[in-house]
Amino acid sequence: MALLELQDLSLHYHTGRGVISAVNQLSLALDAGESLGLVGESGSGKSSIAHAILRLLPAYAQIRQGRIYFAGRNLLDLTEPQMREVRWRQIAMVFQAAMNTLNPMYTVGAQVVETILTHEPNMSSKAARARVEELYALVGLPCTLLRRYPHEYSGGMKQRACIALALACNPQLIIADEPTTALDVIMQARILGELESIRKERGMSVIYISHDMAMMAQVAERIGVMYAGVLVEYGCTIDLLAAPAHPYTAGLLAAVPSMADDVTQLQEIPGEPVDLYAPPAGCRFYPRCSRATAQCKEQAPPLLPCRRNRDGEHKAACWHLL
Amino acid sequence: MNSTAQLPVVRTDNLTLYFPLPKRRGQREAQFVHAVDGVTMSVRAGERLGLVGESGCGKTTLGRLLVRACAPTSGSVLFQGQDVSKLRGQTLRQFRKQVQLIYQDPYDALDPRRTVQACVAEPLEIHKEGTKQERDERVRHILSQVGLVPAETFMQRYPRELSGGQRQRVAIARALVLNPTFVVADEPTSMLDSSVRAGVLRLLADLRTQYSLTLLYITHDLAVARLVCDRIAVMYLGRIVEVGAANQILQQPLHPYTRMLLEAVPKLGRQLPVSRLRQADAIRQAINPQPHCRFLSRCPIADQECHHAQHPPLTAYGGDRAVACYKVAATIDVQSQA
Ligand SMILES: Nc1ncnc2c1ncn2[C@@H]1O[C@H](COP(=O)(O)OP(=O)(O)OP(=O)(O)O)[C@@H](O)[C@H]1O
Ligand SMILES: Nc1ncnc2c1ncn2[C@@H]1O[C@H](COP(=O)(O)OP(=O)(O)OP(=O)(O)O)[C@@H](O)[C@H]1O
Ligand code: SF4
Ligand SMILES: [Mg+2]
Ligand SMILES: [Mg+2]
Repeated sequence: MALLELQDLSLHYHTGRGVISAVNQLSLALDAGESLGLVGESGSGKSSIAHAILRLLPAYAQIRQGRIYFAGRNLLDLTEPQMREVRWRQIAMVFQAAMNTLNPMYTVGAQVVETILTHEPNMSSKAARARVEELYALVGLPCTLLRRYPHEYSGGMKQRACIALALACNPQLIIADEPTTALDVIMQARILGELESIRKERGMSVIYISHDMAMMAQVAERIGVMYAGVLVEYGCTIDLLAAPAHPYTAGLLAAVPSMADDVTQLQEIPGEPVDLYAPPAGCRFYPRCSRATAQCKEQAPPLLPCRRNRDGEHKAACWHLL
Repeated sequence: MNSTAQLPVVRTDNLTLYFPLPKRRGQREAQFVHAVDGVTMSVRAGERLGLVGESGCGKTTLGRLLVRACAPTSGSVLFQGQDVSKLRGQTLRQFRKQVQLIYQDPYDALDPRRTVQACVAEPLEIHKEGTKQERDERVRHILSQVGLVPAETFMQRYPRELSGGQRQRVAIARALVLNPTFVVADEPTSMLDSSVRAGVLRLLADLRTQYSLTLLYITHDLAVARLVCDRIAVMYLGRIVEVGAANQILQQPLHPYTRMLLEAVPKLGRQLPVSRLRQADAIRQAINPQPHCRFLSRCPIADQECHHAQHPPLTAYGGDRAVACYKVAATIDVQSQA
């Protein structure tokens, strides 16, 4: 059975100007011990999905429809106290706003200890402190930094601290939202290696959210591609990167900068991003798509298995698959 | 290249910033983090200089010093020949207008109580640029240039109503709206997908052609640095260890740290093994460091000489390149004699 299953999830933000359709009819499943990568355009709904799972959306956000099953329970049915049991102990998150997660008034060490003690009330504070030192070693932060305040951390140091915080209570699922944007390549590979080892040892699941395709290739077993609130492609990482089926995925991959000598310019996907206040009725990518036809303009394509794939796992939402 | 293109817009001389650490019980000596330690470098007019290096090596601090967002412990920053710490009144205002910083953290950069429109228009208002209508028009224009379209749908929103990458682009728009001459961009596209990022980088290139914008581009993404930067400076624990033309640095890295950095670049389509963190990978802070080369403890080619000498000076090696390493000096000499 899947550990996490999103069924037909639609999410709106009600703003002064109107309704933003941030996530549209999204279905996705994740097994225990699996790693999933979510990639896609900036503003396509990746963080919104994560916040919906943890039920950390602002009051003016509305889950229009759908269910979020975690370990057999629909999280959308839980009361707030029940949800607090789930957060951090079962599902932890590395927020994209790494820096905002930390309170500027307290030392970082005190905050991690506090988190552990809140969620593991039976633990002694001495044991909690020992655990924090362990966590810091795990993410490669010197323990001297425990006594320092957030503003004394560099960007990458804060991100590491947030990864430590997410690991604090041994969760079953970690959602890591752009966890390594401030880390250099060496450290990124190592920190991700650490997370991956923990995932494999403990059978933990991880959802990585990132725009970094090369990083996804390293850590994600499966990848979901988001465009303007819609999951447009999903499949095993190797297949999807080698032979993308959706024109948006192909465009995104073509735009990845490479170290190859013959590449001298960055590619862009032509056209403008979707206005989520008034998304196109048909395929949301159609105004920018070179393969678009009248059908694309009128009917939204469903997410269906690609014909040429072997196991039916590789799916895409497009009338004219590549 | 004409001669004006070679003039430095910004020059630093032995620039240093030490952060004091609070004294602990039983400690005799005061402790300092040597965040930026004796950096002498220049950014030439119209160039795009990349600044790369591992987390905590001092990139942000150096960038902040250049725009006078903080004051150095010693050394100086010259902007168009003038010591920035001595600027006052009108000249300081001019400096603030011409020099902009794009913050690394888009969640910190924007005032949460102001709408996107107010955030981006603020620099225009401070510097009394144009009429209200003209300002609105410029805000709208720069927002669409960073891909926040239709601009109207973003203007009245608050930062918390934006995605991470959208905030990052508002911060970029705010920094560029005054057509500055010099911009320090601290990981400005770290949260943008490849296509949107390409658009923003194209905008920066256009501004360079149109207004001869000079850019210090702080990044850890060497693939982007290769495409965006004319020169690259590599920083290690507070010091510049190598600087040179971008293709030179990437194709023929000389400093052992630069080589190490390049070997780790992940490549698409090839699943690189991710290895576990080793003790040696822990973040380093230069707290009251030894006088030797900062890279000594990790250096694969270090020998006796390195253990005895001071930190190697940044020494020129033909053309545009300079390297701070004793062993590299030796290998180069051998090569040139052969
Ligand atoms: N709190 C909010 N109020 C209103 N609109 C929001 C809010 N959060 C996000 N949005 C909008 O919903 C859409 C999806 O945002 P989300 O943060 O999920 O994107 P994302 O895929 O994480 O993007 P990024 O990669 O840039 O972080 C965006 O267009 C954004 O403007
Ligand atoms: N206000 C401060 N007080 C004390 N120490 C600081 C302060 N700001 C930065 N530091 C320390 O100075 C060093 C350099 O930090 P800086 O933020 O410049 O690094 P960076 O190269 O930008 O790293 P990253 O890539 O992770 O953002 C770090 O060791 C950091 O902990
Ligand atoms: S001087 Fe020595 S220790 Fe420093 S980088 Fe060169 S070889 Fe390595
Ligand atoms: Mg996001
Ligand atoms: Mg930084």
